[in-house]
Amino acid sequence: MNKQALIEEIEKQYYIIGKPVERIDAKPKVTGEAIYGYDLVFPKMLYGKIKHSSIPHGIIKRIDTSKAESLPGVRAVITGKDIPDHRYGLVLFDRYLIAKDRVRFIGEAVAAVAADTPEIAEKAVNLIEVEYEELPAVFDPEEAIKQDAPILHPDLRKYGTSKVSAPWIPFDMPNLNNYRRVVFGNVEESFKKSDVIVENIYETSMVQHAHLEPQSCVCIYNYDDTFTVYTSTQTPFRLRFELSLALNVPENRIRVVSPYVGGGFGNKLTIYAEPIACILSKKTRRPVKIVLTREEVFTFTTVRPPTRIYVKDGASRDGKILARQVRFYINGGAYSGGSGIAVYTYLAAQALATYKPESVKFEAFSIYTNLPPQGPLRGVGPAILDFAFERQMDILAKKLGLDPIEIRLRNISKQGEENIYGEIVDEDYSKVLLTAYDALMKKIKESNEEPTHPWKRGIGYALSSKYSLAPTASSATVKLREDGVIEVFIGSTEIGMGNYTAMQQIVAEEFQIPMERVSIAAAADTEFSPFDEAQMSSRTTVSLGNALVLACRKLKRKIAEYAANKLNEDPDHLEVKEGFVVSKRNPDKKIRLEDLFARGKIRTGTFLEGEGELIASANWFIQAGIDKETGRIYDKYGNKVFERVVNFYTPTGVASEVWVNVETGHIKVKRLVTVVDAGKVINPKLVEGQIIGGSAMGISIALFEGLQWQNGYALNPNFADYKLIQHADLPEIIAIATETPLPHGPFGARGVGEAGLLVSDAIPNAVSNAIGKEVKKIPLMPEYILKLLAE
Amino acid sequence: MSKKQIKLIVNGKEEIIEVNPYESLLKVLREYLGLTGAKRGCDYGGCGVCTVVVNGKAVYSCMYPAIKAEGKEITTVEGLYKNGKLHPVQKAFIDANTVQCGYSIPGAIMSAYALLLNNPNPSDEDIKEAFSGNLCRCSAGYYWPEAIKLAIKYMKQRES
Amino acid sequence: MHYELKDYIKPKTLEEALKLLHDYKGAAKIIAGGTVIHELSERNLLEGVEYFVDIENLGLNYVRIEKDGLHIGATTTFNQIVNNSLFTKPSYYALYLAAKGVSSYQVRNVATIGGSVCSSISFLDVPNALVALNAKAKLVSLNGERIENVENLFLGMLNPNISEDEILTEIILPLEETKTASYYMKLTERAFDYAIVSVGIKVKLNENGYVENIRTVFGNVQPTPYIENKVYEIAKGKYINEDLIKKIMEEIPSVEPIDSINASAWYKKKVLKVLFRDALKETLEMIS
Repeated sequence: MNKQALIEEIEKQYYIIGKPVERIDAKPKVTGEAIYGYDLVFPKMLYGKIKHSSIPHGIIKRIDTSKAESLPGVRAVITGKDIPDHRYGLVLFDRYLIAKDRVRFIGEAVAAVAADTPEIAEKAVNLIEVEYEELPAVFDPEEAIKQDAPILHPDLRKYGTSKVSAPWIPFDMPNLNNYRRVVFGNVEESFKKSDVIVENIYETSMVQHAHLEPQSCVCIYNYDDTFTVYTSTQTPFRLRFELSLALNVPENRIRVVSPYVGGGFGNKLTIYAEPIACILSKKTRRPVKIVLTREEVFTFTTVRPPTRIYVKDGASRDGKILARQVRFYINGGAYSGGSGIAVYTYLAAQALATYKPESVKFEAFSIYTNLPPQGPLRGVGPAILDFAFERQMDILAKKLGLDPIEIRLRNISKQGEENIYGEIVDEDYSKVLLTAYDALMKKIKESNEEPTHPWKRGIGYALSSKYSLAPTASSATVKLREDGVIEVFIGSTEIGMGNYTAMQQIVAEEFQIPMERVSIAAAADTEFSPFDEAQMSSRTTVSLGNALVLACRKLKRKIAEYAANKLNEDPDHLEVKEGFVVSKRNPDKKIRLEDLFARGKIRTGTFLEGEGELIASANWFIQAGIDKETGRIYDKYGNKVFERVVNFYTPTGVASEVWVNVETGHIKVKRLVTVVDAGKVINPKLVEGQIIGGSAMGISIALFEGLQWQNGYALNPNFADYKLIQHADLPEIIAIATETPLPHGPFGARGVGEAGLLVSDAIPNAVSNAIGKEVKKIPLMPEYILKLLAE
Repeated sequence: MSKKQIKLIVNGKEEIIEVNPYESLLKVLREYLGLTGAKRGCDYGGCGVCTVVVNGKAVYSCMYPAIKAEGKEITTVEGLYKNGKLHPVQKAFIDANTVQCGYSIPGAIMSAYALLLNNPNPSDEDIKEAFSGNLCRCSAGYYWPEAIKLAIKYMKQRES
Repeated sequence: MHYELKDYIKPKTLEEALKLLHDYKGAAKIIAGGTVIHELSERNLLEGVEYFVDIENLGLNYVRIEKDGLHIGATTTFNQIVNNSLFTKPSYYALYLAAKGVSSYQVRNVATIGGSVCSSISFLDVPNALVALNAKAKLVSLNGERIENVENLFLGMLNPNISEDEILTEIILPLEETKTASYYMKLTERAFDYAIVSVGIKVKLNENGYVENIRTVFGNVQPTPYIENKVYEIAKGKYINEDLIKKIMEEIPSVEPIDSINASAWYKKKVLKVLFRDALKETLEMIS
């Protein structure tokens, strides 16, 4: 479709796309009727509990479970001896379900029990005695790559890997477990030409997802040697795959069902207690429920890893970046953490998409340390790297006497041209930035509030984009029900984004029928739902949305063909809309969808003749990849090996006003404008909710959040000391969705689930602007601000 | 340890149950009475998803001993939804766009309900204080004040 | 949960409660609002505890003015203090602010003034404000009763100077005084949060506007509320002006603060001065 035709399609009056339809899950959620994994109860159910390592690194010398086993009410106790004899993982197979011989962080599982009550289970866990021989531990990535550092995984080279996205370890470096490079142009040459060079080191903290529903699962071993797993997950299919690897059971013998999920933000993309509950269930032949405590969520699950970012930029006098050289050290924790090892190494580099320097050399190093494993967290790599890149833009601008908006505009990747990877740019980066700028300036003008001593005002911007991972596939099935309702089968979970509502809207649009004439058939269930990769990476609107559009169009054709006989009309002239099949040339020729069904012969129901169903399925994905050596879609000889690296980018422009108290270091975010390019807004209420929610989390990460450790022990694994933003700390947030159509998005739509998080990259700029000092690490703790001011 | 029989008045109905002396009101509501609207998030009064109303006041049911609640009137989110009709606060929470994953919502609704019970015309500062003990990771409660304002409107409409 | 209970008892009279504590010795623990139980349990401080004695029904929920002072029953909740206009008077305003600033409205609805003292946690606001206000506590046991200055009840973090068979029944504040005001201010990361550090102040000026008495308490600077005597030493008998405030700021804190997860001693020292200055100015404004 050419651009003009596309714009025409976007502009045309939609039936329901773009309307603020009420969420279909709103009512069950406000009445308390929505059932989450945490709420599930089954007959004969036991309660499982995990015993965690109490040291960061060591050899297990002895485990004595006898006291636990003899406690009344205890039904099973398992240790490393009871689990399969191989390591599992999603990308790199580096972990046992329960430590067999060695522990590598304090959260690691060393044993587990199943008991009649949670209280007995907890008591039993405390009765298990573990004797360790402590090993030297390492907690900093750059310490861990030194030649004399303790090696966490001496057998790393022998570990199995996934066939796709396998880690790349091209050289010997202690504890290195994944590496990516991007080489574009020649940075050495470009640095030589540069008029200014700005070189800095940035640091980000360990962030926890802190979804309010802790991981919760009930696992049932069935009489036919299969497992049914009810769990709070973002990805039933991936979970089934990972479980199959962990348990050494074929995928077809595992069924994963996901009820409502109380938030995920990336943390529910891998297995935690599920395989342990499965083994306990097999051993006891009873359902086993394991729910994590808040402390376990903080110390046993994955985290957004702490990172250190070395950036060296060279620019010309007029503000054009000529060379950008980056070394990105990821404090990856003790294991690969599901896809964690891939997203921060492989995909973080996509943060480079926003700007187009003359040359780039980027290297990411994922490194084992004795801390919890890295896992994806909303916005993943770009949210981290853009903090450094956006700081660099401001520092460069200051050095060159340029306006911070101007320097960004001079360096953006331009629509229609290639970005540094070689992908054609579909995104309009200037629009989101300028929209944010205008909206903030207007707000500031309207208000006459001026800071007085000790408060200082600062304005800061960020321009960035969140990629959506590819290739990932979604399938969808739609079916005409005898009452004329279109029934939708999808394998996507509802973790809060409102994707069920958006998907229902897409189907309603395709059939031009009210929302209540579309039904989302069931919760995601690997037994009945079509395949869906995961609810992650801002991908559902585009991938699943496209699959649904395709499936709907197929179904409409099938319905037209079925109705053709009854209406005595050529199917090409029939259209399916508003609950009817109607002839385009003779509107009187029409039939109600439910009237396509014949009444059963002894009148016990209705049916369709022929195939018995009017049902259609479709799948959608986009092919993508990189040449490893260059990190681009071109290899070093200039041959194009892929069309794209990712599915699409969601550009985000942020303008923020902060006030900083120069006596205490406190920061008040006064106003915030977050502009996200949604391509086409399917539901403005849902999009706004995502932008606001991402922005709130972004402020929280910029100002407050950091899971702290001392010698491998968590200092603040609770909500009193790990600070999540509260309602009272929120500023007025102006959420704007611009609409630059994505050519391959459904109705031109992009995903918007993560982009708001990039707010965390604007606030440091505003704070630096206020205090006249360059901040180089987040969170912006008051003490850090005072230290900078004291320098 | 022996179980103790206690009487609670939950959502207007008298309940006689046997509880262990250490058990929290949250556990009793969820596990003995099947009222899973109050959620579990942290167990020590850190997140607010377990908020219920006891004798007109919002409390963390996770740290409220069940036996302490004996004889008291307890309202949970389920108690607001009567005869298939949403309570004005529930309707307001939908209309103000507060719902995402929904896990914080029952607790936040109970904080809002308690606020309006005690203070029908709260100031912005009162609203902030009322939600000071409720976390929300999806939106940090951005829309909650709007929901309070809408709820006040709906309640007035209901009265007139 | 690191404890197991044989019983949860709700005595109806003080005598009954005291007898339970006496009979069960260390196996019984008093519970009021119940908000510190989790913390005690996590630190294994409930080991050996088999009975909770809930003091909610002992009739200790009151606020009354008597000849010797303002008596606040031990089970009076933070929100009952906030909602009682008596505490917005300058002499007691520090307590009002401390109670109002406690994070979590839900905690304010159940946490009690007596419990806040008995838990002995240095970053909690109410005990710090009570020390600033020169509060006394009445403790009763079968052996009799004693009245103590509140500051003498803190031995260390979660370690109160209260014996197993004693019940703190009430807090007694001095009667309202003229030319007197008090204030409580804390520095937090978020709007509603625990204090990084806090300052409680009570000032009494004489007829000529000179300092007759000034009492300053720092919270989360030491493991127990820290009374900063330096302020009194410098300001006694003086008129408080900018120069004097500056002088005090140079001299405080007179003790090296403890480090916390979110703030070092260095930071605490710096901001305590600012916090003190602002709290003092607010206090003086209330007197004039």
